Amino acid sequence: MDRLDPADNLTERIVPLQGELLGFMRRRRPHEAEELAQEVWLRVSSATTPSEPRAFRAYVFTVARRLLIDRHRRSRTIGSLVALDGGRAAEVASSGSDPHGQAVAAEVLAVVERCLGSMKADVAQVFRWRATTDLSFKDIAARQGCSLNTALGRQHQAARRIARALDEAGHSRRKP
Amino acid sequence: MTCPHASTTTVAWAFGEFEGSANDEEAHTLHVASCADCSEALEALEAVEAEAAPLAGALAVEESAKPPPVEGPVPATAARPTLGGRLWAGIALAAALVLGTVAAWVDDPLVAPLPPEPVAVHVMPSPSPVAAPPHVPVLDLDRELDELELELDALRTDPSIL
Repeated sequence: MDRLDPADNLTERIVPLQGELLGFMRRRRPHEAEELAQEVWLRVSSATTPSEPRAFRAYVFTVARRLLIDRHRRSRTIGSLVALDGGRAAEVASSGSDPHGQAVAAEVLAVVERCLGSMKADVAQVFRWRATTDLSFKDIAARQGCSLNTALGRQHQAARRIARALDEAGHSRRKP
Repeated sequence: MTCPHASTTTVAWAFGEFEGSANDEEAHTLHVASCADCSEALEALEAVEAEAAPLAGALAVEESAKPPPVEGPVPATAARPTLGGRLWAGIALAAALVLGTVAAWVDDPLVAPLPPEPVAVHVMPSPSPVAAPPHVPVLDLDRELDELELELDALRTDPSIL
């Protein structure tokens, strides 16, 4: 891979991407967008990065997505809702203050649940455990009696199917 | 999807569970950025986390999603009776056979006194000698009896296995 020459000016390569990265973060975590973008640049500046512009851009957004996954997980609302009797979407819908946001959340939950319901039980179980507990993939593999790679593969499979279902339902924020 | 890392290493890496040195992790970051399969996998993981994380509480209400309170691997299927349990079942069967034989010797089995010693001595200490776990299906009674007879033979040959 073509790596950054130490003599290169990293700032010159960052500037053209700053607006794009900030917009990317704003669409996902509007209240923390600037902080997250700064964190990305910090990580990029301390790493050995590709020098070719397209590869550099891909690298920046790879770091950004990974940072977002970490942030999403830290902020998830584990156990914030109580047991429901067939009305989970309604419960989610009543948990926020923005009516549009509530409706979207209810729709997304319905898509995710429908998708999980169509998966093999072991695949859906890995996703549910990752979403609702702090179990590591090693823990999940041990509990399911499978290899670590199998547990990772199940998460991968579940995420791809849910991402596709969200795309089809018009709830995608995938592209930068 | 052809990259073998897309469904394994990249998933662990994306969730901060990469196993390796910092240099290896950095090398994998470069790999993901340049690999179409891994980039697509990362995109999907991030997109789903973004949508699902705020709803995790709703997903958590699923009882099936809660991990069982055990520390070791959970067996995928119901376990068969242990050797010890099956041996006790064998002893119980032997006791039943002895009872049947004794009953056949008397004219009126209904009033004939049961022989107390052979049965009570062996059966009483057992935790549940006869009753198999309720979740164990007995689909083939002949096969089960064959197995019990084999275990009885083994017991006769070497009673110390108890």
